Amino acid sequence: MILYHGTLDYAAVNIMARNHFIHSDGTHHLLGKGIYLYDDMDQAFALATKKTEMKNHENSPVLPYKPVVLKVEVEIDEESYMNLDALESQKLFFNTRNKFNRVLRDKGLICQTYTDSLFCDFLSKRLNLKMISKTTLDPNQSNHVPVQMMNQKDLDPILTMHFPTEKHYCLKDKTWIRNISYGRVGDL
Amino acid sequence: MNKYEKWNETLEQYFTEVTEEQLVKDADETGITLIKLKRFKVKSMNKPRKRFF
Repeated sequence: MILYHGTLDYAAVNIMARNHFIHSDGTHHLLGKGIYLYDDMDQAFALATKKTEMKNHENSPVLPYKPVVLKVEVEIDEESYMNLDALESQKLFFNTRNKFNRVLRDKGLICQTYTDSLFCDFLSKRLNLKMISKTTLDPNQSNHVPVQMMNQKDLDPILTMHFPTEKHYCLKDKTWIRNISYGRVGDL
Repeated sequence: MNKYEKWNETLEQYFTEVTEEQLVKDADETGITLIKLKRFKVKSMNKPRKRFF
């Protein structure tokens, strides 16, 4: 499977030199810790461009950073890959989350910190998952979100259920990577 | 047995066998913090007060 990673030129050089990625972390990542990839090069490039613009704005470097897309060849073992767009995976995810809450209640426990991203990591550990993917709302096009989903009156009023999406692939095991190469280098 | 059946079985077994301590530890490893729910005794409003004559 060919996937794409959007980043900045200096980070791309480091990744290529070491031939490995540093795992993204933090609760704002949707699918837990891992290497975030896209199956669409344009979406990876859009993310790289956004990251680059932010970095150039923050640091004002003499030589501005450039957006880069890396092409990543991944060999997938279906047994350790959870595609959260598939109905069976979605059923498993939500049923397990409910089960988790029931067990907590029975044991007299409550969650002090919880996000679905952390729960993805919890599931990955239990099931030894190496990759999780899911299609989500594209935050880069947040003005095209149905009003009823965001409750903000300045959004596109005629949208009903069609909104921009992006599919994330969160690779948790870098041993699945077969090859990394440059996919696209852009200018701002 | 397909992968979903295997995953369901693995999770079912985990939740059946896991102890409270182990669950707290496993959740903590992934950043989910679990705390013990404190139960407070609520005094019944219907209970008649003691009267001193």
